[in-house]
Amino acid sequence: MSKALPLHPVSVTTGARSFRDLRSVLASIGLAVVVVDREGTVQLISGECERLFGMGTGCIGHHIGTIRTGLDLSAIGGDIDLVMTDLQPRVREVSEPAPPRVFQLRLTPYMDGPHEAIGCTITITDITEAVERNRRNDVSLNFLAANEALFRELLTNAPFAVGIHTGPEHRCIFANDEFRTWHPQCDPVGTTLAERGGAYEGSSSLKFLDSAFQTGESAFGRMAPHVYTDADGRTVTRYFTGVAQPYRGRDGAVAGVMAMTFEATEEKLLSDRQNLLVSELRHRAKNLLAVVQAVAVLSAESATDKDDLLERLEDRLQAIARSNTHLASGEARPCPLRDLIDRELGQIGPAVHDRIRISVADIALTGTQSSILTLVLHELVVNAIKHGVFSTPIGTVEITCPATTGTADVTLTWSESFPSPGASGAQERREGFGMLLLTEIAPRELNAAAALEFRPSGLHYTIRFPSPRGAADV
Amino acid sequence: MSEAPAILIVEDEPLVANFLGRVVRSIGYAVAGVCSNSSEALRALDQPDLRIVAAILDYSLRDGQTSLPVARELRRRSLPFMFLTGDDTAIAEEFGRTGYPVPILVKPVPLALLRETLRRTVGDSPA
Repeated sequence: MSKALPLHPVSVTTGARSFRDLRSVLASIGLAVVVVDREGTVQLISGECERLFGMGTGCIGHHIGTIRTGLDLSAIGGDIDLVMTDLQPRVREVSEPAPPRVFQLRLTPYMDGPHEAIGCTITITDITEAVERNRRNDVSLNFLAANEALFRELLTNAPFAVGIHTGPEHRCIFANDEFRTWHPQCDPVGTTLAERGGAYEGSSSLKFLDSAFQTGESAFGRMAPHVYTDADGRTVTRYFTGVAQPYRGRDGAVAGVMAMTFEATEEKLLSDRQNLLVSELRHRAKNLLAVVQAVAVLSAESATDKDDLLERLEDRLQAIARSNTHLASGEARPCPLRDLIDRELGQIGPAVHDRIRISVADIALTGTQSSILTLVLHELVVNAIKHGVFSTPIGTVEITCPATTGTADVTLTWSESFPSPGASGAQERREGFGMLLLTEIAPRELNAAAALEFRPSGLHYTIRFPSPRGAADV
Repeated sequence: MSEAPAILIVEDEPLVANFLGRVVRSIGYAVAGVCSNSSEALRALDQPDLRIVAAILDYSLRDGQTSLPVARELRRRSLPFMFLTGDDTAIAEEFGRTGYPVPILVKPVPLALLRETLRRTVGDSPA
């Protein structure tokens, strides 16, 4: 049966004039359109009608209901009479058995002035696919209705969050257990997205559901943030990965969205951390060659000969390599000061180890601090072997770093002492890489104060740097 | 020494900064300061007594920052500068389009080339 549609009349000045104007338009238009007069006699016909149904210009002048072509139009005469009477557009569906197709005929009054119709335009559209989609949809909906209890149980226990929402405001009609954990402050069922939270401006949850609802296509979210306020009033951000799948009602229009999501918060945090580490590594790697160059140039300035230069350079490159260990191993965890000292002292022979006294508190260094202090200790050790306390068979080193409270500065001291004052007379202040590192570079890099003294008893070095507890660093 | 016109160094690697300082002094300029980030460098530019006439900028600094804010400020003040970087593509993309002539040297740069480029950037010798 045909049914009335809202009125969209076509207005023209005179019938004859408009039929002539339309002829050329219809010849090439990609739509199947037939124009008939008040009695149903064909006046004009578009080229597409001939291509689809074999209705050529030979039909003009005949009543549309008498035309025998690929489309059964026998019932249309009555529709035209109705349209001419009430001036309301109408639609009728016509099915063809072989091949099975469904066409929609849309009849619109063809107006001459506001109150009089001089004819009717009939637009023919192939709606076979839409009809089939609706039919399948109906089958699904009936199946769902018949097995609702089973589906409800399966979804409720699913290891991922399932929320089924209806309407453009995403009113929840089903929430499984996991989905409820995303909205801990209320029962999501019955609420709109705005009411249950997660619909802040720019929120991924909103875009995710809106996108599926508006386009009628699945929307995918990857590590998208979901922000809500928990029972204690704290703002919580969790990340989800999932799909929002639109579903259609019996009228074929999108009725709502079903969202299935997995928690991706841990992956997101891990990936953020990795990106940070990779960016730091990239930065270090790019600068490493420049550092090597600077060390080479600076070492060359104080070297006595080629062998001396080579030996110092090799030692320093190894110290730089050790100072980057915390990055190379991919670990951003703090490095204990004691481990660092042991590692550097491990570079010298065991014979002198009983001449070293270590009294160091349990202090965890940041990455930058451990890098720089590795280089500092390396220079102190090398200097002690070449010119200081380990260049003689006697003399001791005391390394101290007392415990501090809160965020008070940390003071590390390296103190060489010979049994009799004057035995260290051979050692004097020498310009060079080591001096530069101990007195300029390390203090600047660690935001520290350093003092290097050549006392009668031996070399004495202190460096006071901010507590690692107060520093933000990897 | 403080009377000599000075060059600002923006470099977050202390060893490299020290090396650059030596090169700067070797061509007769003073080092106005070594800054490891942009905000320090911008503060230094606001101090007239530093007598900054040019700058050497390391492009990528720590924590994902760059020295581009300093470069823009130097350009606004029509002060010459050069980039020293581990990777010139990022600068070419971000700064090259502007048409402002800035030498870009890629680390590690040979000492002679660094001296020569620095001389050309600031002019032959300090006034």
